[in-house]
Amino acid sequence: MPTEPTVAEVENLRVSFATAAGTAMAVRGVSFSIVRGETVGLVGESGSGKTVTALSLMKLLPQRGVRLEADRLSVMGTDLRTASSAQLRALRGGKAAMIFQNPLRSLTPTRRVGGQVGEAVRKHEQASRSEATAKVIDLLRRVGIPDPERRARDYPHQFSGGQRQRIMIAMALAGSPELLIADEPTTALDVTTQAQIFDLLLDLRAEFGMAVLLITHDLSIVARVCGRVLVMYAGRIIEEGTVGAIFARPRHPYTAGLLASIPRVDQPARKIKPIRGAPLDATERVEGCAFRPRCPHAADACSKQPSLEVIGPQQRAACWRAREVT
Amino acid sequence: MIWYVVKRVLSAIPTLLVGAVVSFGVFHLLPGDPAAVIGGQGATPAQIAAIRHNLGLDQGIVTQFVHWLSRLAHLDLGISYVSQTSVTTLLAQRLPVTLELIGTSVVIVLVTAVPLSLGAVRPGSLLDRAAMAWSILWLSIPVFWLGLLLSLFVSVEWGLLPASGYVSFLHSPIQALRHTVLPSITLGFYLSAIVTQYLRQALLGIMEEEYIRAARAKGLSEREVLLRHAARPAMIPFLTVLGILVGTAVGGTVLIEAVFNLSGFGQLLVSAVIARDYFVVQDGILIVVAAVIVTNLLVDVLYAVIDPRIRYAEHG
Amino acid sequence: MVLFGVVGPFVAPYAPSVAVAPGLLGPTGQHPFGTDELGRDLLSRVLYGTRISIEIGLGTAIAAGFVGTFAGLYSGFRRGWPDGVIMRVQDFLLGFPPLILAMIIVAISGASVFTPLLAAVVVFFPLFGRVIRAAALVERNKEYVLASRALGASSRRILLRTLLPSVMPVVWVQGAIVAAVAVQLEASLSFLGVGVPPPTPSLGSTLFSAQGYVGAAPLYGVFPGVALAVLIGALVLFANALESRESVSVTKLEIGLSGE
Repeated sequence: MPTEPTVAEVENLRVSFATAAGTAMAVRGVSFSIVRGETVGLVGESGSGKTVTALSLMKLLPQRGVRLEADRLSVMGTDLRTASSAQLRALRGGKAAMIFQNPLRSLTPTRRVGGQVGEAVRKHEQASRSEATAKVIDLLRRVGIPDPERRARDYPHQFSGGQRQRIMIAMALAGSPELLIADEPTTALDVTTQAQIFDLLLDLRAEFGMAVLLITHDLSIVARVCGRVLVMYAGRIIEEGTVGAIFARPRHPYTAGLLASIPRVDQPARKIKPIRGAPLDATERVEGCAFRPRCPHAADACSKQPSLEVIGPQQRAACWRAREVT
Repeated sequence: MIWYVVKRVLSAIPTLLVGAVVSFGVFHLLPGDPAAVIGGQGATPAQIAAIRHNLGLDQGIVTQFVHWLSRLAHLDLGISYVSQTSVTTLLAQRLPVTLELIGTSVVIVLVTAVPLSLGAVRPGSLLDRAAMAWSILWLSIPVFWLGLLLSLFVSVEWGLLPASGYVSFLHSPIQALRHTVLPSITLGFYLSAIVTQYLRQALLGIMEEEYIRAARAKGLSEREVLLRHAARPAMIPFLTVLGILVGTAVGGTVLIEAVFNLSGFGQLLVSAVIARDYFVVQDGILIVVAAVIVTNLLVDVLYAVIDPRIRYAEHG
Repeated sequence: MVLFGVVGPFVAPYAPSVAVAPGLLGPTGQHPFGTDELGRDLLSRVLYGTRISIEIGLGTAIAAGFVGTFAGLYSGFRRGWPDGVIMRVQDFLLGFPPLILAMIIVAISGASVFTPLLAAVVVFFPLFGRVIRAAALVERNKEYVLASRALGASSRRILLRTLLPSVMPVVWVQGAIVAAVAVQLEASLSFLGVGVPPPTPSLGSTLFSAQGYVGAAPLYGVFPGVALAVLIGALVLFANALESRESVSVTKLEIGLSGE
């Protein structure tokens, strides 16, 4: 059977939560696909639905009070909507792996690091104890933990933040994933460590040939690491395209606003322009374009929800005025 | 690790001393002249003075304290004025009763609370709701009322089990068991309610931790996640509640002993306070204080065994 | 919120005051709950006793709340040696079996209607203190507090104006729990004979008397017990509801540190 060109395909994903304040629509119809080996950035503010989207790809959302619907939701050829628990478990940590934002909180504090990585290894590879141990040490070394034989016996709190994230990456690699989902992996780290982690990720991507879905709110990271970017707002993707195209000429006012609010070293110092207003609350029902209240270019047409239209050769935006906006 | 234990033990000693001071002080805070109370209604001033002298109450406070401490060091606990027996004898009679009661109650707690609290793993499930109902039920019903009702129905009406009295396990296990059932259930259910509440909440908290989610992301089954990633951290709140349980249980035995007419330590302490029985009060309170301190110490040490973060806090 | 309603009925039949009436050791009839061994109408006694319980419960919650909240805020905010001292005192009080502690306090202060209240306050204020302190520790590093300080607000002002409102949700929940527990404590004390002195009726002491007449008048003990159970249960449910409302998690453990 020929290998699929895409590692993930999502069509019209909708996720809602039941909350005390009503039903919160976290994801309001998201579609995208990830091609083997590519690095895609999923960008948005907190509350945009990006993390929920990522968790949906691994079906890691809680069962209670959550409604997940999609016309298509397939990862590594497995249809997540109908997959059995066993299939899901084989997928998670195996062909599809995820690393999280806060490495200190994501590692079990009462277990040794080597054991936690080893657990992932033994879950997804047929390995004897000694083989697994060897693999663990190898993985730790590969992600840059010095003296791995000794340090495998240490506990998470004995490592620095950057090292903990490396350990998480090691755990993710244990099953030789073809898709790595990274949810804000460096938000909790300082800039220097950030850079190191991304260098590591890029190296590994080249070495293992895996696709990376990077969730972040930081466009500068996207510029560094990703080839393609999806911009989310209020549960929808409002612009997508290659990094080159988007950064050169963002078509959606929101994307433009995001870019404008990043301080740039290569440009003369100027006032930072934030996007006015606040992000949409997930429980609000929205008529028309969700960005409208904050959009400097809002017009009457915006009372109707725009869909993603092709704007340029490598770019799509969901805005009625996309062609006019610089 | 050893260091940690040593440090904890050492720091417990001053606390113990403070406890001793408090135990001593309590008695002297009680209003009224103890000698007069002991002497009773018709005591003459001379008799009262004699009692005072016997108890050493006519000496300075500090002197009395020192005397008491030195006698303790020789394991001489003094005489109970009320019953004219040595405190040691009294304790030997009474403590086992209380300890057995607490022991069986704890068993009941463990048997009920642990399985029930596991309902938190699946919030809203039948087990979970049963756990909540269980804990609210036995918390609201006053312990002594429950005891009353139980002895009323099970003993008086139906004649199934004895309503009072005590038989030591060492003498006759079967009889002992029959006598213990009602009191232990009464105390045990109440304590179980507390533990269930607490454990349930703690477990809920743990299941929402990010490392649990990360463990699932590795492809582990729920069972594996529970056993390997949730169980150990759950031990910490478990220990905490066990520690507190001891204190609550001691208080509880006072009531249970009253309802079921058991001659236990709790009753001893209560009547001693009322009767101003000098040595019994002081020694008794000291025992309680010491028990609490020792329990806390044990709990702290066990924490360190379970949670490496605590262990390594010393060297970082 | 339905649970609020459960507390209601007990606040209503407040008044039927004094509990002495003629009659004999009888069961139900003209006296729906019967009479006690001295011929007093049980219905009135239960109602009056319930009121006492409520008073003590709420009174304790309020008084202990005051003392404990300020102690907690102060020690949490100040740190340093006052924090250490306050904490030690509280830890000691908390570790000690509450019932025994309460008994000792009652013994020291003599018997009056107020002593159980006093005892309860002493026993329970550390609960507030500890929890509030924890909350204060969290809040004090938050921006709005730092902002206040940067603006030059005096410590006292910060305490009262900024910190206090933010810990209030915790205070309410804790208060409800303490009320429930205080009711239990008072009942236990009265049961043992060291609570509210006679002839003031208390649910606890009524139950004690009931115990003596288990054979002759088995129903004697039922009603006061039911009243207590419902009252405590209502308070607990109330606390639970408050807690999920405010999404505060106060260690439910405290419920256990009752009059046992």
